[in-house]
Amino acid sequence: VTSQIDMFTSGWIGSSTGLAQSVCKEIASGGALHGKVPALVSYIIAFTGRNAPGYCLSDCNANNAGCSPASDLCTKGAAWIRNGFTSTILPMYVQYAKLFAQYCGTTTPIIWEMEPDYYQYFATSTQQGGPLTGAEAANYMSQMIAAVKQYLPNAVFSMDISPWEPGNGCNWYSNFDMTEFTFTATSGGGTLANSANIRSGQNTWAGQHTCSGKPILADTGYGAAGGSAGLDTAWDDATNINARIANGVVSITQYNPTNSSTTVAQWGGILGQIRPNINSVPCY
Amino acid sequence: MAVATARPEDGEPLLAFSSRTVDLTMAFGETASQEVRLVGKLAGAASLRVVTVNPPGPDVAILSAEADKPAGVRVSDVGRRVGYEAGQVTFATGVDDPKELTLLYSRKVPGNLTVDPTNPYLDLRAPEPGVVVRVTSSRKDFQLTRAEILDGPFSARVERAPSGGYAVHVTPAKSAGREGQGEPGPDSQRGFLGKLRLVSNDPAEPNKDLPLFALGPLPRR
Repeated sequence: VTSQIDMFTSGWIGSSTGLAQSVCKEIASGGALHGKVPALVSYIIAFTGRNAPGYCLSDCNANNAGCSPASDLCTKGAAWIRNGFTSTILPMYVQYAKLFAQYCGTTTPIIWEMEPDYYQYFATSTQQGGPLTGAEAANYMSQMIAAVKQYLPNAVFSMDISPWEPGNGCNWYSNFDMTEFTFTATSGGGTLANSANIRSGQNTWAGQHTCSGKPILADTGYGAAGGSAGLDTAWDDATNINARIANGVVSITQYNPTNSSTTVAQWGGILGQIRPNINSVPCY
Repeated sequence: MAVATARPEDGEPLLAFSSRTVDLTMAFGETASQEVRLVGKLAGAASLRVVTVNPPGPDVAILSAEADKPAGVRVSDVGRRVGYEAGQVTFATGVDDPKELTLLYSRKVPGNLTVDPTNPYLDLRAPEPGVVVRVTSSRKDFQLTRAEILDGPFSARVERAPSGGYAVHVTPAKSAGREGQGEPGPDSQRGFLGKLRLVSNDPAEPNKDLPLFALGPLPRR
């Protein structure tokens, strides 16, 4: 499969400080993914909030598992950012950037996908102390990116897509300095290859692309609680892919592109078969 | 721990700034400032002192309490560079809880140039990979002198755009392509970084740099 792929996604940044060493070993000379571009999802706000004293923040859809009293990123996420940014979140960004610089170097490209569901800290009325304002959200985002760039000049950045943002995210994106981003990205869950909508009843691929002005890195194949949902065969269909390319999608990553009848190697064969029928990505 | 505000979940905060952010917008070369005052039950007891300004840049002045105003701060900055920069200032409060307060600040300096896309992306699997960067200006005397590749396996060419402004064509450099026939090897490099510099007569951004990123194997020479 390695001749068919250009990028890959590992475990998420913030999950383990050993991540950088393992990813960089894979892309080093002799590694299984040598030459490929790591597209790394950075979920540091959420990971650090899970165990922060007084917070115990689960994901908003995780039903406060293990947290007593009940708390999650939709109730105390904004407060965690305000109170933990300087002491915990920003230093963690620095730590991971340093680790990737140490093990991967500072010349080969890395795509750093910023904070899945960052929108939830801005738009959720249940945030105690109030949700982030647009100015706060933009400020924290810019500081996190600057912290990474300081040590990892070879990183390019992607802004998260929360497909439930009203109006395809036009107002949301207008808060940010979008010159800091090369891409936008979906993150976690599943996405629809055969639909104009990213998820059923939610924003459209084309609408998100228009509002952000950025090409889209799509992902799919995440199941319940972040587990694998297996190969999403809809994304192996050249007709679907071409329709999404026309909507601004420039890549697809599958969490675990296998099922009972398809191995990773066979998936590579499928990609090889459909590639001649895939259209060029237009200039962005 | 530095905190942005110390607010009970309901009611008046113990100590906080009247605004969580100071957002300064100014023209290139001009100065802007904004005051924020303390609020909360401890506002009269606090004595502010700057601990850190990160990143350095803005001037931060402590404002004494006045007859009708509690103590506060004034953040001032100069529009040195076009674009957006953000940071934070941490203050010691002089009270036991909270010991510190953090104030977010940002500086936004609008420019004359409009560049689209701002972060050019190239699909190297396209038959003829490349991207066109459209450059326009609000200034009538604007002239784009040249486009230079400062880094990366790219080349750039400038044309006048029929619709006005300029079109900068960025393509993989001829000399950078891979040799041989057929599909690239499984471990060939699939991503490339670069930097494009736009040189113009714009007074605020005579040299404007754009990041370049390309995904896929370099095409054959």
